[in-house]
Amino acid sequence: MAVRTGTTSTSTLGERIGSIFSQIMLIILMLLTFFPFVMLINMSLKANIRIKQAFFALPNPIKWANYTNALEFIKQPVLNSLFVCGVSLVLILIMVSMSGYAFGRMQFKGKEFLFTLLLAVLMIPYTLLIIPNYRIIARMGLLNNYLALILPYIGGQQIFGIVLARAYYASLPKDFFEAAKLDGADELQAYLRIALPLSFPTLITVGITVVVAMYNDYIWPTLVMTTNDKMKTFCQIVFNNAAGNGAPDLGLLAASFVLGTLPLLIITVPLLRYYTQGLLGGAIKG
Amino acid sequence: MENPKRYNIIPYLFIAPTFVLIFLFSYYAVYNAIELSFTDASIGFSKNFIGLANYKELLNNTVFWTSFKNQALITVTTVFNSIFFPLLAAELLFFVRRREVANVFKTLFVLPMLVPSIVTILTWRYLYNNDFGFNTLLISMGWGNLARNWLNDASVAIWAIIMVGFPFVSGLYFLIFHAGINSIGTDIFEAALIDGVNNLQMVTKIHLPNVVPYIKVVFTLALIGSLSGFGLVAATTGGGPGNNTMIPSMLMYKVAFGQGSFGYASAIGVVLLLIILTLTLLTRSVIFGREEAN
Repeated sequence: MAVRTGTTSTSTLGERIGSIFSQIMLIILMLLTFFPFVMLINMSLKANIRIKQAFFALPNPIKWANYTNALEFIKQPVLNSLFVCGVSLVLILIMVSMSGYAFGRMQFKGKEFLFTLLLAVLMIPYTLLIIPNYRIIARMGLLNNYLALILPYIGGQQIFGIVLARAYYASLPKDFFEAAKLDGADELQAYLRIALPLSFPTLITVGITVVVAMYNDYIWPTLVMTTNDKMKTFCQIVFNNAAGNGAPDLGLLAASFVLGTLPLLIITVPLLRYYTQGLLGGAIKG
Repeated sequence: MENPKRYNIIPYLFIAPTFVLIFLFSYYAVYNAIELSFTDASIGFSKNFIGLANYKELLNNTVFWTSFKNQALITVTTVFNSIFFPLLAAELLFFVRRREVANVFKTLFVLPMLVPSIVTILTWRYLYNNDFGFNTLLISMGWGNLARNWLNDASVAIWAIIMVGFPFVSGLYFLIFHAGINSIGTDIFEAALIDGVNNLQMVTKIHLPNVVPYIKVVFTLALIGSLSGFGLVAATTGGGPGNNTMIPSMLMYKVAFGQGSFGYASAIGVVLLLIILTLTLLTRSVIFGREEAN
């Protein structure tokens, strides 16, 4: 990645002023960006009454009980979310890499047409699909079954990944595959032994993108996971509880928000480097 | 160009699972939605063909028209915010000379992306609350007369929704612009510096022309994103107060799952689909034109 390296020796006064000015502006943007989250954490450590009476005051005394109560409240929903995301993720990655490889490296009749068909899905508004998909899931008898989440998630979330993976596989040098063929590897082996391992960073990018999107969803689960409270997902619970007015305990809810956010942060932050690289590498130009 | 002579079934096996799901949950679903829009289908399975009745009813529905006005406002502002602020931040980041500092900023801007959007939205909802949040701030600054129930006040509710997420910097669009600026190539920057361009010229003469393809990408993503979702409205006002912040997709959701009128709701969805297709194709051919190869 060609990041500009301003060597000190050649930097002009204008450059230095520009750098300082930029940093000040960025810090302001940063403070504005993080302001709500800081407020959320502040809320999560206070008693309900203190939130209402002294919103900006620092938590004093700190009410850790919010967190122990919140853990009890959202443990199961978070585990449910992670389960749905995990199963979907594995299946999405398998399909993304297979379809990406087929479109990126294989020759077959109707390839261009099928790829256009795939891209066209991106133009279908999510809203339009809600009713028919609800009916499809209901007909399949999958309401209140995790497959009601998993199947449509895979269907919708794989597209972006295939576009990304296709660009990556297409960019691999031909020699890799010709050498493998000389060694007697067939198409399947070439995919499994060469392409797949090389594409791990791309698949990580895809994985983070889809996990964030699936973990985030609250509209669809609200429609198809209705009967059993123990099966509901984290964002669904949050949406259902806080969307109604007169939320009971704001501190507890705020603490739940923070706790429910942590799994995503813990899983993705170590992989963030791959994520930005994978995205900046192939995604945009493709 | 591998070996075109041999007929090969493997590629089709590779893409089969993908297409099974797409055909079911996307193409069949779209067909189904269009079909439903000509019927009186409700939440059960029985349905009768009623021709264009749903569409006629829709055209006479004032809420529907209000919802489009709101959608237009939200979409225009969202697309602007999705381009202007992330691009601004990416430009500012370019001028930060110390690489370690720049990387810290970059990481910090990516982090909020990982917070579930419902958490971000509801946090803003707290800030918009009547009893605390921004109002606390206004009162303490002596501007108590400006305090209001932001999401419940017909005159400002839609703007309150639009401002959720201010300053709109964090996330994917920022990364895309960051990539765009850094893809230009150091030799061009160095040549420009030798020619003695100042910072402003660097942005206007060198960055912006080269970042145009990335602006197109963000434009399209933000446009489709803004038109296709209603999570933000659903989690803030639900379209209220009254129907002041109603948008078509929210209306569709309410008609479908509040009133159970699947047919009528599908008609709203189909209109939405037509608008998205038209706008996407229009922006591709008219606004951005020519060099779009793929």
